[in-house]
Amino acid sequence: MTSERRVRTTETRLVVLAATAVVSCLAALTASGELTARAAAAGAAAAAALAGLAAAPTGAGRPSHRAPAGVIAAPRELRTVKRLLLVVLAGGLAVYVGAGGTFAGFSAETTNPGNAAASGTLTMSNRVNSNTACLSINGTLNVNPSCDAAFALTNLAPGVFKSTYTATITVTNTGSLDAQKLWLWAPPSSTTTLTTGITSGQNVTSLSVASLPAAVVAGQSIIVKSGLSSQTFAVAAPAAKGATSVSVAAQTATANFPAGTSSVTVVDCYDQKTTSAPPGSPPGTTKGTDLTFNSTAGNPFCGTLLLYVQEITGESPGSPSTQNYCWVGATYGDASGMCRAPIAVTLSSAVNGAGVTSLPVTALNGNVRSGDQIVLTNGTSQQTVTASANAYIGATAIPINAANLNFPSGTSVIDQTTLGALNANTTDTITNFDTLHNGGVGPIELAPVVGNGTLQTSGPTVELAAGASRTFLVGVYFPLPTGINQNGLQGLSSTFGLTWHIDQTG
Amino acid sequence: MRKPSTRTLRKILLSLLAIGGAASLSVSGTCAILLSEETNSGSTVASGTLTFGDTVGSGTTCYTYGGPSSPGNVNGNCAALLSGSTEYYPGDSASATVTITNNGSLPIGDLSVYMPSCTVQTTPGASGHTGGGDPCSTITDGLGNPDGLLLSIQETSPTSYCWYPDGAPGACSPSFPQNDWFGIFAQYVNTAPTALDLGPGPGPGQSRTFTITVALPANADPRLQGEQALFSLAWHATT
Repeated sequence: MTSERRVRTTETRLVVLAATAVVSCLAALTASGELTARAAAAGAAAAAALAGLAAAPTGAGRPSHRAPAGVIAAPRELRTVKRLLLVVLAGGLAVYVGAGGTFAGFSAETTNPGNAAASGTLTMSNRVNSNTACLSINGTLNVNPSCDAAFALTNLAPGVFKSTYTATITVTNTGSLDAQKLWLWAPPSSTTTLTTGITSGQNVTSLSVASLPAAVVAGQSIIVKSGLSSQTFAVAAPAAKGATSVSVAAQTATANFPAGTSSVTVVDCYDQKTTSAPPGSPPGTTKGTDLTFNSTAGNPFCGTLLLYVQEITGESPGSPSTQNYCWVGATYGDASGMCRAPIAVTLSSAVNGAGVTSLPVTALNGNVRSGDQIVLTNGTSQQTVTASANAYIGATAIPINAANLNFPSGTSVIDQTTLGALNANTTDTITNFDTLHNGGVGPIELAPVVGNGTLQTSGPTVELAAGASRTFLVGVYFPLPTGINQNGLQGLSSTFGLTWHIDQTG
Repeated sequence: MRKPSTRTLRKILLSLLAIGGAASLSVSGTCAILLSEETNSGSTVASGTLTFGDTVGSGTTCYTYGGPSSPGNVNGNCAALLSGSTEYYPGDSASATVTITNNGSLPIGDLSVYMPSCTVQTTPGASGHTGGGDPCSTITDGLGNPDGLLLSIQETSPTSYCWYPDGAPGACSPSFPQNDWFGIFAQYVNTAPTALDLGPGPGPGQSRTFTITVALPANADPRLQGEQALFSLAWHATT
């Protein structure tokens, strides 16, 4: 290649690069809204001119100044190119600033104006029973930590289940986008890390953390974990959300917990002594703070209360859901989708006669399993019958083996088998829910339920479609284990929460 | 070989390309994952209390939670029903009223009473003149007839009911008045599982009153002379 051709080639490359750069920048700026389409068109014209220039001979009609052998390209030619570029760019600028008519006599143009690209919304609501729906958008950054409490129960006694011990929570996608994921866990939604390491054998009286994910009160539990080692500490003094130090009851560290890599999880549920007697109590009624034998250390009531979350999407009184699924709590280990959810209902009409095979009841607030022993009690009259088929939440009849019955409307109906099973249950406690399913570990993914006890296993998964709702019955039960003195649980109040979370994608 | 100025210009142009590309990518980069979250916070579940007071006569009320913290809600230091300094003669009896008041928030599902201890002691001042009999047990005369201490537990309020020995409404009127009712109670009704069931109640804020009567029958066994029964009665409530 001759020196002249090398120069021309270089010039051509320069011009093409210049044109490409101009187009690229203009495209980017237009896409980001910083340039109008008109400006972009002007720029494009300039770029086109540049391209044309590149295609034409650089020094046409003029003698070129050849560089001596071994000397690098002629600077005059490059200067000429630069001048031409400036002229073309100036022309393009003129087009933009108002010289639109400087093109040829004929022109044509079309415009697709008003193009818009709007993002969707992913928001949710949360309604407890028939309360006003709580909106995620009322929280900070679409996270609302202050929706209605599911329960405000007082005066629980072991072994007793009442209809008020359940609440329905309806979660609705109020946004325009489908949520591929719906989650349930115990708050808070995040963990933190130790900022000062702990050495095995060390006497620990405080924890230094990056930022406490939730406010804590005295007695609340905090789990410090590193690898397979974990230790639970009891908060000694209240600390606010975001605090970097928490006082804990003195304990000897059982393992090394390095700074930075040791997680710190706040266990949501905590116990406090009741400070007032239940509403309506006679004057002088004892409360938790009157007693000396009901320590809150270790949050024993949280560790005893049983929690269950039964999906009942589509349920209405008299028309049980066909999408029952037990997400939290004791199950039967089969495809029924039933939680062991106790019932507390009454006969909706009298049963009188021989061969009764169905108990008419107020809508079930729990599940009855085929074979369960159902106890009817009216004053001192009591009779036990056997359920002959499953009956789900919302059902208004319990199928039973034929029995001779004589009970009036209003007779109490309970499922003794379920209560018996729950009385021996030490697994499905609120504390276990908190430690196994929290913002740090084990969130429960609420996959779509396509039938009783059946989850969607194929096809695209949308766990809460835009506009869709899913309904859950949440219940608590204070078990009555055989032969165990539960006096230490008198006058205690457990406080806990449930977090519902949706994600646009998985 | 390119001139330095050419390389510089190319670098600048390539930089412009890179900036243009980055600007374009940033448009699509705004599509971050969306999320939404709500928490039903502050649910509270509170247990009730099961406590009661024990008032002997018009004395000071003794509360279940006034005892030691362990095992808790058990108070073994309530007032005595009967004075140990009283000497009884055959035919004498002594009574005391006990009022059980529910000051807890939960109704008492079942109230019961039992005698956790009964020991025989020599009546003060009777040393050397004791009969050697045991008033805490059954005792019979030479003909096999019971002639030990008598005991009755009569509810007087809110209803009249004889819980022991009759187990029937109304005033106590045992079919076998001379039976060793005290000794039988001491021997067989002495633990919580074997306690005498007094039925449900009282409810929160309500009371039940009982009259406890111990009698030395007219035909008291001579072996009970100079002997004293030191016993306790325990009132037990469950939900």
